[in-house]
Amino acid sequence: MMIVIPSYLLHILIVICFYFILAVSFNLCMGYTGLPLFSQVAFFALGAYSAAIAYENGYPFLVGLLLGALFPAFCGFLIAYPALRVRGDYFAIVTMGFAEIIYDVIHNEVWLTRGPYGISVGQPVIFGFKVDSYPTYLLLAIILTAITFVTIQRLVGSPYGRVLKATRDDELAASVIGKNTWKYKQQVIIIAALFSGIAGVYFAHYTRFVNDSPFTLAFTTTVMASVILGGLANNYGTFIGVALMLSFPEVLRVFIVTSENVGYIQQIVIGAMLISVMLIRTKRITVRKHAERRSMKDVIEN
Amino acid sequence: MLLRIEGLSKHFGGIKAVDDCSFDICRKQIVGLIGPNGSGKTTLFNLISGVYASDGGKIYFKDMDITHREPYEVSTMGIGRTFQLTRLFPNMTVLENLITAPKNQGGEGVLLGLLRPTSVRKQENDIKEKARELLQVVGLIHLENESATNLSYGQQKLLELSRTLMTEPDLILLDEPFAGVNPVVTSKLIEVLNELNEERDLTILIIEHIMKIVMSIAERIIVLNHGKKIADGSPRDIQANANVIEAYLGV
Amino acid sequence: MEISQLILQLCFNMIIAGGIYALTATGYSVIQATLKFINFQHAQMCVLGAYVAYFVSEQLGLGLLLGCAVAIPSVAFLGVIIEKVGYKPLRNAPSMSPMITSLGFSIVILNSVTLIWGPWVKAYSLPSMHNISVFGAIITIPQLATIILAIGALFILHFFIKDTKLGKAMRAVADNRDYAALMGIDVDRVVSSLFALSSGLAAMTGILIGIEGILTPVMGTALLVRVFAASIIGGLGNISGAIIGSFVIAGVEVLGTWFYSPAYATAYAFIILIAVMLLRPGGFFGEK
Repeated sequence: MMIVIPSYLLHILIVICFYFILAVSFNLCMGYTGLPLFSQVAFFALGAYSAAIAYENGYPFLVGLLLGALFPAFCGFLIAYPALRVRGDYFAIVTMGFAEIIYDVIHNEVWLTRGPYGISVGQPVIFGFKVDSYPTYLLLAIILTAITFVTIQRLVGSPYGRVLKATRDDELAASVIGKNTWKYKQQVIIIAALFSGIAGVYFAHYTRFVNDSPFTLAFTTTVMASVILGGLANNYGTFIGVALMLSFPEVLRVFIVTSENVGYIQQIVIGAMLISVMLIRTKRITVRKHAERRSMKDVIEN
Repeated sequence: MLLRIEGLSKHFGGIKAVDDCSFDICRKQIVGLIGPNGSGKTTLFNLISGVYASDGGKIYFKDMDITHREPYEVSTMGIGRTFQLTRLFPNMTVLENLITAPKNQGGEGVLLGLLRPTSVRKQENDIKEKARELLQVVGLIHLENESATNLSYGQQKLLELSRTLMTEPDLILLDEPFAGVNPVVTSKLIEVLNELNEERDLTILIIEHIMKIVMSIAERIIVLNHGKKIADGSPRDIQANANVIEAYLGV
Repeated sequence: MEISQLILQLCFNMIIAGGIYALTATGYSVIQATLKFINFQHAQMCVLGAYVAYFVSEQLGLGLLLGCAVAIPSVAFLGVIIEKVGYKPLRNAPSMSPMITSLGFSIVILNSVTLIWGPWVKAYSLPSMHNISVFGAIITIPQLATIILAIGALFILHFFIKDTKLGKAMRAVADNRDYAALMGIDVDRVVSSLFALSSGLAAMTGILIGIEGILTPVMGTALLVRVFAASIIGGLGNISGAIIGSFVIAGVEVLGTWFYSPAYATAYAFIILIAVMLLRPGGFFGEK
């Protein structure tokens, strides 16, 4: 009948899928619009917990999915107000603050979230179709990933995407040609929050257990690193970045590194990569600036 | 009365960049704005276009109070501006820089951008055509797919002006559009501006230091010094005005 | 406990926490003022300082004094190297680039420390000392030492910035880097010295925190939040402001911890930060 694919491989593909959803959403904000969305992990967590709590209270999967998409989106809508009052890098701090606050709430409000003890989540049932095996989980993951990718890719390729890029490259210039840049920035935050929440819902139903431990700053830096590695504002590159980022621990494990240390080494490599990529990008821009200065010679020659 | 400025003021710390400035500009006028360095000309532009918040006074455009409007609102109402140091979108081509500009593009909304129905696609094509016509007029059509940063200085100025024109403004604020531009491009620019002024009733307010150009294209000149308006009249009157001469000579 | 005792105790806690935050925030502000980017890695220099001192004093058994003598200069030196390698090439890049670089460095340092020393809690072995009681409020000897050192260091720094050549050069560079260079100031040297200074200060702070309590690899991250909040409250790049901001943050934290819950300590700092951003944001085009 079917070729037997090892379930471990399927697991990796599934993880790549929902990481890709997160990376593409992050890229929408950071790569295309210039907003380093450090609160993404909070949206992811809110999505996961919405699904978990919905499940706990007997609601079907689709209700959890809806809640897990809309509630983070609403939070994104709200956080835009303080976060967008400040310049790009401070936006990172404010959104990071939001993520930290959400983490603390999750960690401490045990009556709601069971904090570190976590909530168990069952398998999704969609209109009677049970998702209870690796292939079916993968199918669901692929569907969600495809929806995310197609939506965001189409959006950035349209006139809407042009306004985002204009906002990123020169917000003042974009506004004097009539673009309401604030509105666009708030919208991408909402969109990213929505898809991150969906990823969270999937995560909850896939790992079947939600507690506070994954929702840390290291999570955001890993996603950010995959995006930066793949080249900002390039969703195909992002896919490669995600694949690289996730396969890396597996490669490490081959060299018999103990499993906690794998995490640390992975992060160290991510850190080193961020530093290197920034150095390389800046070098490239400096080279281009020298070329620009040469064109100023026209002024003198003429 | 297209633009009316009443008692407009702006200070930075103790310095009065613009001090109780008032004047009117009528439709179809070409007005020059001159004055020594630091006299407040660019600040005035920033106030009109909504980039700076004023510390007093009012700005009326088409009889509407735009004093506290955001830059994008001011632009939507019909004021376009260029910058002393060009602000192009560096990661876009020449054509893309232009097609980003027009207002009311359906495809700029989330839903229509996603779905891209025929109406949006048609609008895209119309805009591209218009942009190409404009590039033809200013002589940049052969560079339409070049990255904006690969253009020479003068070409970049032309491009920025073209981009502003794509928003179909009623009033355009030009900040030293001729600085550092070679004579060929300069005469092209003047030609385009005069044509737009004649055919499309484009009102122009232009900051320029090159006296020869300003005196020849402007029908009226406003002179600022230390943020205050010290003269307002025809080029001939201004050239003979003692205050103006003193402002430029007696630093 | 009587009300007056309680207030006194809370005040002491505020001064101690505020002193530590102020020490770190000053070093952070100095960099913020001159190079104008958000520096995530600064707080990790505290962690590094604490652990290097731990290495010398506990693992090599050479005592804490020697530990300090080794840790502070070596972290300062490392700071200079990090600047040369990672930040100097980005001097003219938009501020988000060095911010990401600093994130990279902070990740590398944090995880390296965790890898080498493990995530578990560590402590310096200090001789047991009696606590001092001041009108009923308890204060430990290490805490007293912290207050004295912190205030002393802040005073020295204040005069350093105001009166010394380096301090003045720093203010010139902070004000307008190109102009300072034209005036003959060696910007590279000034920046290196500042990095050395702030990294050294950070190391000292880390050791003080370790003396006062425990060492964990994540001690820097918690500090980071407060330092950001303090420097933003005080006005970016404004060093005395950062000091005031530090005490404000310490105050809110101590009160919040006492009256509501210690679990939200980090969140309090961020809530203040977000509130400040809402009410008095840094401004974007400059005027609106």
